[in-house]
Amino acid sequence: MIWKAELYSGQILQEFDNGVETPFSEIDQTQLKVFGLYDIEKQLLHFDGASGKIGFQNLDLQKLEKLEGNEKLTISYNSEMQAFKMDPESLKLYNSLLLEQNKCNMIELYSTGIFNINGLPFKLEAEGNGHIFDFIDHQPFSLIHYKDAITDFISMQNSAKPYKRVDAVVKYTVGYKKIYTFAKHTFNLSLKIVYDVVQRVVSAFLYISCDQSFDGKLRFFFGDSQTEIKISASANELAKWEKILSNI
Amino acid sequence: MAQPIPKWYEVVDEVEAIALSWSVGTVDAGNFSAEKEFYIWNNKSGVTPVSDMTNVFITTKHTDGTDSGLIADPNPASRAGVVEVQTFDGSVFSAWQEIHGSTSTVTLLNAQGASGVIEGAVNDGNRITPATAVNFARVKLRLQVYEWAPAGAVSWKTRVSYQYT
Repeated sequence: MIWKAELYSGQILQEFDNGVETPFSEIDQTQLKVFGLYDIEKQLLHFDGASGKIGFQNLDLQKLEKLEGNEKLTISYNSEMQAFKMDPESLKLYNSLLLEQNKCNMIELYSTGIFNINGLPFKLEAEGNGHIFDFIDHQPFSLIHYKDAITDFISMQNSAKPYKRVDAVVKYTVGYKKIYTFAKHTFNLSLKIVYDVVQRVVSAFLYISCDQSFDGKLRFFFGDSQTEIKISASANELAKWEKILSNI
Repeated sequence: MAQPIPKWYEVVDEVEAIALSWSVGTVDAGNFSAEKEFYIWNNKSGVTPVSDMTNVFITTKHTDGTDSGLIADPNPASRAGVVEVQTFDGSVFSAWQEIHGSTSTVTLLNAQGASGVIEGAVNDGNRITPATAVNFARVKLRLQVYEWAPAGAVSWKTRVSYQYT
């Protein structure tokens, strides 16, 4: 998945654009309208080591028909990254040939505090101490985004055979943290949506505390469904909640 | 910032090279394997900075990535042995600590002693340069084979996990 950010000005920033990377730190969070993680079609390349044929399964046939033939994609070994990488011109050509309406998994966070998980909205509210606390439309907040990754060193049956090393991202996280101040209550809240690549599930993780003792419930809205959990916590006591929301 | 570029290196006869294997050889039941030292770099010799690796820890996994198998199972009775690790704080190595699966992990330090961080800053790739110590972690690993271990080869993954933005 790669991130994309849309600012109120209409400017779009994205993690990679034809191979050129934008640092996450360049996002002006005060101007952020929506931040999202989007699936990239990376499992659709079939390379046949016998024939040398590379089969891309996500290319637009109509666009391929317009090619003259002998167009080249150059893939070179990048020793610094220890990986083969397509050169910028080739990547531009490849991206120009992609189907434009592929199904795309997404996790978006709007500046309102509402998440969009593959088209289903997800939001949170609390009810207790005689009030309803709506945790949306209180921007800005501090955006949370990071990736969990691994580098595996795999020995082969206790032998001196060359190892296999695997580098991979295993989880993507997007969320926010914010201190919400209402008339008589202040909540310290962190809400994260995590996509576990290995398990292929999307989960929500909430950490919340209130400056006063709180007796009530938290209410989660996800699509058409609603989940309530009772919460009874003393002042500044941290409450945690996590739940698998969907498969992806 | 570009994603981290982790690389595993080893030093043989004072010469640093990409680690190609970790062969524990044949280890008798109830014994330890020879020690193996790794240098785990981020962006070694990088001329442009990449993201730091944060919350870095080391553990083992079964070859299918799960907490199971003869080395990574959480239940000692189900294991044939366990991998142990020593971390390096820039001055000395720690005591040996067991690692297996998700329940028994060890936080790595970079060679300047900062816990859980291997920086992606530009560096000269020379492990002797003081400023470069933030770019790598040194660890020693060994395999302890239990008394009840069955004969035969075992395989596992040694995994370094981290976060980045």
